[in-house]
Amino acid sequence: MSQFWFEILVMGAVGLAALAPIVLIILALIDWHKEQLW
Amino acid sequence: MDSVAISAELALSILVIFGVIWIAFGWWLGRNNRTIDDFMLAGRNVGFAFASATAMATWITSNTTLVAPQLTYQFGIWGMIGYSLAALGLILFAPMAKRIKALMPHGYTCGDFIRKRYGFGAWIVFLIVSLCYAFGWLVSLGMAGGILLSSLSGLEYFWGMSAILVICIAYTLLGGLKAVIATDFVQTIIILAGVVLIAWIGISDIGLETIYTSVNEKSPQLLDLLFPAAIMFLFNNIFFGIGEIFHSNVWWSRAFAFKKDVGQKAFLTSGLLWLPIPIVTGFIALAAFSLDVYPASADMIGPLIAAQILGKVGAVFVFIVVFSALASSLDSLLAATSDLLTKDIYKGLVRKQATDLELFRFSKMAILIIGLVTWVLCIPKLTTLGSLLNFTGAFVASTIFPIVFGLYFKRLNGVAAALAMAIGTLCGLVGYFTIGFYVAALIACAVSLIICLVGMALVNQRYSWQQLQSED
Repeated sequence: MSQFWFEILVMGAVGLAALAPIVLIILALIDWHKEQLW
Repeated sequence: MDSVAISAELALSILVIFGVIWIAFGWWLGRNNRTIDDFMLAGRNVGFAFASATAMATWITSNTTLVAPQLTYQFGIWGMIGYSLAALGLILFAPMAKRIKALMPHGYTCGDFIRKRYGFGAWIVFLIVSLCYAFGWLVSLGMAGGILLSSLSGLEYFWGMSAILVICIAYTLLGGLKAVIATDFVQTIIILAGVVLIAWIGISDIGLETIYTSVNEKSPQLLDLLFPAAIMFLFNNIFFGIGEIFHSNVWWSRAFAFKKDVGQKAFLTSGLLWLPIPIVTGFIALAAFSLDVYPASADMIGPLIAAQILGKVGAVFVFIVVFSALASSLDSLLAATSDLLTKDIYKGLVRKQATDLELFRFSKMAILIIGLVTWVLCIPKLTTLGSLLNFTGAFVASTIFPIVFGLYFKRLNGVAAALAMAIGTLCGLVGYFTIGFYVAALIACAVSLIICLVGMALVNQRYSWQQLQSED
């Protein structure tokens, strides 16, 4: 694998992983607002 | 390098603080549990956010944080990509979760399904496979706790392993699945924030260019996309991941516990969010070549590199992240295995007339029994995490097609399903011992598929889906 694709792979993964907790917190706030957590 | 990054006192303090928080949280969540449905399935009413987070947290285990770097260190690029494709298990389980909830709205365990769908013989084979896997995973989690503590803090393996098990048993016992799911949500946020921060600091401090150049000079096969053992590992891991999820009561109990119409989108979301995590935790292992770090045990490469990059503060951070990853899986597995013992073994074999109250009490006792057995099995520390994990691959991959065909096709009968699981497992184990760990799941899955196809070709059973909704 070339250095270019190695960097794309790693940076892409880090970026997506950084989005994940934000998505989960937003989903939880929506459920909490609708009183649908449980 | 010196593997002890933080003091034993600091490690114990972190354990005590988190232990008290999780146990108190578990008690608070479980204070209104009145029925077996409340305790085992969180009232069958889990919403989308908690459902997505618990699926994701449970799938981010000590293996994702410890074994993904190990496999990247051994197999390079395919090690981390192969591990990340285990997300396919969650993604492919999404439509199955919907079907499971539709076919068995009042079901409790995957054992329920196998017994009603295939009969007694297949059910016994399935329980053996499932319990072997569950204890294999539990022991790997317990061992990971002990290894982590001893590597990062110098605290003896025995005490670290015992402390983590006691904390998880305590809050699962007090709160049931509701405590497991709510703690999973918090643990997911901690884990994700932690792994991203560690990766980001690693990239800033060392640089991807330096990491790439060092690997290319010292171990270029790790960047080779045609590395044969790594390609075998890639396919093996895909089937292993799918088998783990399709057969395990950890995931079936969630399919039963999520609100109607939530299961499919929750598993899909969690799979997509999980996909990049093994790459984020795995690539850091490649920094070993730039930093000249050579661990005594390959499964500690990730934490050691992180501790090397981040120093003492980083070691504390790594400790919290891996502890959260361990707890989020250990609690789920304790609860799900307890459900299997309660509904399948106790009610199914020992006391068929047991009332809900008796089952409620027994399920708590089962958590204690499972915890105790796991603790005893963890004490000798017989193998490495990767070996133990892949050993169970032969068991789980043999269940993939009996489960899938059983859910969607009426034709497969119990004899073929039982033979597929039993012979598939045996062949997978033969492959494990004669060829290597990276083919066990692949062989088990292929043999099981062939037996299922032959079984369906020879016998045309017309199973009635209504039987799945029948009372015990």
